[in-house]
Amino acid sequence: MAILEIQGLTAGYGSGPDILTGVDLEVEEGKTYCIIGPNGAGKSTLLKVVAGLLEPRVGSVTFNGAEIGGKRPDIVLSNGVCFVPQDGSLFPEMTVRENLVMGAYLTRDRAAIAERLDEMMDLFPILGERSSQMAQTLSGGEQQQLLLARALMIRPTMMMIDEPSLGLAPQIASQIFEVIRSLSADLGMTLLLVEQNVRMGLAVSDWSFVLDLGTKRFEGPADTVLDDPRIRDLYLGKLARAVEGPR
Amino acid sequence: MNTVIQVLILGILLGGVYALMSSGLTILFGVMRVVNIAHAAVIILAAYFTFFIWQWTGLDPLLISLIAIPTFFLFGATLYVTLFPRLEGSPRFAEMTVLLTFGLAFVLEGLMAYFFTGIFRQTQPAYLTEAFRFGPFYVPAAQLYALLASLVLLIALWAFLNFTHTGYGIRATMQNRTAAQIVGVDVRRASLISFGVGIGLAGAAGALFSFVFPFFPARHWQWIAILLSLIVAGGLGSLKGAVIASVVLAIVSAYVSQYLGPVWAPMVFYAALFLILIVRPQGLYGKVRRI
Amino acid sequence: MTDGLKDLRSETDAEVVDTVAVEEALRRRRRVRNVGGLVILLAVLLLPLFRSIGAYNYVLQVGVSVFMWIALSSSWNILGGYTGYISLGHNVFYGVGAYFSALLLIHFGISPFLSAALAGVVALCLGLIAGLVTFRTHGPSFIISTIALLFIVLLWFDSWALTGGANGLSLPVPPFPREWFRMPFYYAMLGCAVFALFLGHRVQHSKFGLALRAIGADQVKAEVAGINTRLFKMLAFALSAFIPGVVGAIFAYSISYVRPTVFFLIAVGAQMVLMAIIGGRGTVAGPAIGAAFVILLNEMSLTYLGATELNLVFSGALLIVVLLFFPGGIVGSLRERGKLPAILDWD
Repeated sequence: MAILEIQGLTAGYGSGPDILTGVDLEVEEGKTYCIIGPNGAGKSTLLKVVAGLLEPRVGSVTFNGAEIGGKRPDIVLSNGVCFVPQDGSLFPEMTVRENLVMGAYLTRDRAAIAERLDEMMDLFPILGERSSQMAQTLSGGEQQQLLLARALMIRPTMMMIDEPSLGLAPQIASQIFEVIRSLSADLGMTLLLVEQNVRMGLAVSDWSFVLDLGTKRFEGPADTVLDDPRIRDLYLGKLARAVEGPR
Repeated sequence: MNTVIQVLILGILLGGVYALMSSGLTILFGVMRVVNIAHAAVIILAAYFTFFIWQWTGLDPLLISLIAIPTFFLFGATLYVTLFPRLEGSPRFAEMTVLLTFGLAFVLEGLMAYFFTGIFRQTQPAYLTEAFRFGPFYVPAAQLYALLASLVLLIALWAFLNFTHTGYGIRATMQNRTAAQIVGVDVRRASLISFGVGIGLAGAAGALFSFVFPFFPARHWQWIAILLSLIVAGGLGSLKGAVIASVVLAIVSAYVSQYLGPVWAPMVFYAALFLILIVRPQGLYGKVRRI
Repeated sequence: MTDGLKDLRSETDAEVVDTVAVEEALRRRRRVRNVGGLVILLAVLLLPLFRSIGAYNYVLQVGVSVFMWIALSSSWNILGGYTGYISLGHNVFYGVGAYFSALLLIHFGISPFLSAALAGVVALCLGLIAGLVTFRTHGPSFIISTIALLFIVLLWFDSWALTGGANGLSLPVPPFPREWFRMPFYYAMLGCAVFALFLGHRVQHSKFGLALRAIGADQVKAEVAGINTRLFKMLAFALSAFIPGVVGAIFAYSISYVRPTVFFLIAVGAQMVLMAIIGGRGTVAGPAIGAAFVILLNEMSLTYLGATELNLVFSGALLIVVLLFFPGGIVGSLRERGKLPAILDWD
């Protein structure tokens, strides 16, 4: 059952060139997807458009039947789609607890918020320990956990995470991926990941989209997509073809 | 010794009003990256607003401030919607707002000068000439009421930002606009309300200004230079910084006024600005932003 | 195979012909521009010799004013137009130069025509010293610090005995015969304007200008690319302070007095900024056309509206409209629409 449908999506920043040049893809509920591709392919841009941070120039984005393309981020969120961006998006001068509470900004039900807060503290024990510390004093891995927990406060239907392992030491990164894997396994969440650490990203995913030059080149099961010969062309491009000669 | 304490009292009294004036200005920057060069002109416009209502109805300026706040809130919201949407997304947004509000300041000054002329005005409620005596010290009633009103408003502002849903959203937007967006804050609405609040505070400040200082249209330049120096010293966007800088520098300028002459009092603020730039360019509580 | 090559060749020929045509058009345009510029220069040089034109003194007076403002706004443009560092208190250099030269005249009898260059150097030094502090910030903080600098100097000169305080100083009247009184000022200001435009042109078409524009586009990237942004910003600031100092000295002599309200009011600095923005920031001809435009507007509004307060409203509204709807100014907007006349195209 396709929960997210993207058709012919074209987008860019300001008055600059198109970064996304026509993306078509479908995401099924409950599965984990990993978007991979060379630098500048438009992976982050794609997530930003879906999240409502960037308006599409052409094309549509439909979630659960509702058109969310071009809608404000808070509207997109109320549809059940949340986004964890790449660059620090914590509230630096708020405590861990306040950050988490902000995650549930769209909910006014105090009891529900308190309940979810407890859930998060259980899921991420370290956050419970540091709950009254300022968010900016946390370590990299702890901050990433906080970001994930904050996103979960709203009980989203689909979560989009941009580079979860960025700047993290390998062990911490694998911890984060463990958490991501359990989000899908235990909570049945639909996940859309962008990850440069391709192996780690694919290891927790069901399916993979390969992006280049603003469009989807091909897709395939996460465990076999790396064996596809087209991958080499994509990442190594002309050099590979020059070395190997025409096929 | 008595003089020293007396000057301290006067400085504190003044500091409260300065804090109110600069708080609106720093919120505008903190939430929306708008540097409002026309802020003092708006304050003086509010002073005229208060003056004419006082002249026609005899209402106390402190009461008139209650009318001024919502009026100027609406004025602020209108200004925001008219002037700033076109600039949004511009890479040099903050600087563009400086130029834009610079032009606005001239428009407001010109209109006020044309309609109200350059005569010095001042509302004169009964307590203008009263003073309370505490032993050897006197506390001018007008300044005291102004300080109390400023405190009430600043506390109300603080409560708004820390205890209301909208206030939380505004604080979040001040700290990290993108993060606020992704947790569901409607940042456009938050910006609109913040702008209204900022200008509304200027409206209240103007009502107080109307009896604390004599005013005429061109006066706003002197005040905006002071207010801008205050918010830079306190850290652009930091409410705490603006209040602390206001009180501290008001006290220092009171001493300078007493011992070096009133002419030199404004110099304190400009000198403080340059000093802060040398020692701590981001201001007391400002964020160190990547260039 | 041969057919294919022939197609290829004719395609290339077409391209070559196109390129040649484009280059020829450019050269023609440049010729028109240069001739036009020369004609204007000649006309302006010879104007004072035609004593028979009505309102002779008024015309020369306007000339002095226009040239002065061209010099001022072009200088502002070197910093504000290219690096994006907006100086709203730039007239502080104008005033400092004026007072310096005035004091030399009063106390040592040195003619401002001789001391003007030195006045410019003094202004330049002030620029360097101020820059050391103000460039510790960027963006809005920088702008605010330039305003604070202006107010510091205003306050100081307003209270200093040496500078005559708020009343300022009276200068001895220049020893020129009455009929030719305005001519030296006319030519001196013209010289400054031409020099300022020349400087602007050199900056625009030099590596220095390229570095400034890189800083204006993205300072971090410029720094990373190896540009010593601190040095270049300081140089731009100093350069942009020099001519205002020179021009201030000459202007003071022409009105025979210096007073804080003439030189240090923020409205004066605002005028410089307004002209550069209306004309087109970051272009060579922009500030000049902006200066002419604003002065023309001022004269017209003085004639029709009389009252000077509405003038302020007008200037402010004009700035707002240009910022919102014509951010490139006259030159920028015309260029965008492909309608820029050759005479304005010096970039």
